[in-house]
Amino acid sequence: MAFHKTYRPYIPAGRRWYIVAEVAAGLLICLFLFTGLDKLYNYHQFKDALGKSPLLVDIANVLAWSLPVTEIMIAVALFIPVTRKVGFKATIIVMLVFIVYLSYMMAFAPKLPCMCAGLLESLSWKSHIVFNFLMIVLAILGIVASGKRSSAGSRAPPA
Amino acid sequence: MKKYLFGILAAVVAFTGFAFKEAKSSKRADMYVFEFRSSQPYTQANVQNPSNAYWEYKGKNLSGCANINQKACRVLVSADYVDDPNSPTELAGVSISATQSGTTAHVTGISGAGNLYSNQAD
Repeated sequence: MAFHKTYRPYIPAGRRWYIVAEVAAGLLICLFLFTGLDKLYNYHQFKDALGKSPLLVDIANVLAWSLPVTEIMIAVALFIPVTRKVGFKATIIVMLVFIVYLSYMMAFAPKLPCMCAGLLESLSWKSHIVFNFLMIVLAILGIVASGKRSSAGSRAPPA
Repeated sequence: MKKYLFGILAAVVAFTGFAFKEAKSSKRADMYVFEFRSSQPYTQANVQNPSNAYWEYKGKNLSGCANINQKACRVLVSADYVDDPNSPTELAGVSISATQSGTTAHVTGISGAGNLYSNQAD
């Protein structure tokens, strides 16, 4: 009888958390950069869609440029390691604001189309809320991983 | 440089995805969007009249309205159904059908293949 013993390559805890933080940041950078660029590129369509929303009609002009700019700024914050935690926290705040807005739309204007860019446009309001919750989980994971990574890295070697 | 690797990769993916999406949507035929002037009474006769006095050009490839069949809102037509595709001001060669209930009418049909309409809440 032959026994096979497999060895999993050892990845130090600090390294593991580093990868988790990097992947979480990478996914969120991808999301914010894509949606931000799309909204700026299709500025007139985005502004028009905001104007159709009963909640945002008065601030559509300001929101049409400030929202994509905020999204790109969050992507930049996530890109720079020093400001990454701030980026994760901003992600949570922005996603919570989106969830409040989406919940309102679901209740009062469920048939209004969403100008959310890319694949997100094809999601229903409900799926969109679920997606945003997943992004919040990802951001929390990013914050935790960033903290673990720094504490694992600063641990003093045994005497 | 190594610490920016994931970020650079993510940015490249985002830019590529965006470029692909825009290239794909630029191949689609433009839809010209006209909105019923809210200053006009929403009667059946007015809604069915494609004149610029009732239907105002709003832009290309804009989204529709809430799709609640209570009050006329927007029609989306292809280049064949506008007076001048380079500088559109008015619908041309299109017939709109509407139904009135009470004082407001909503669109129930539009001629021309691929042309669309969407109504709004009263």
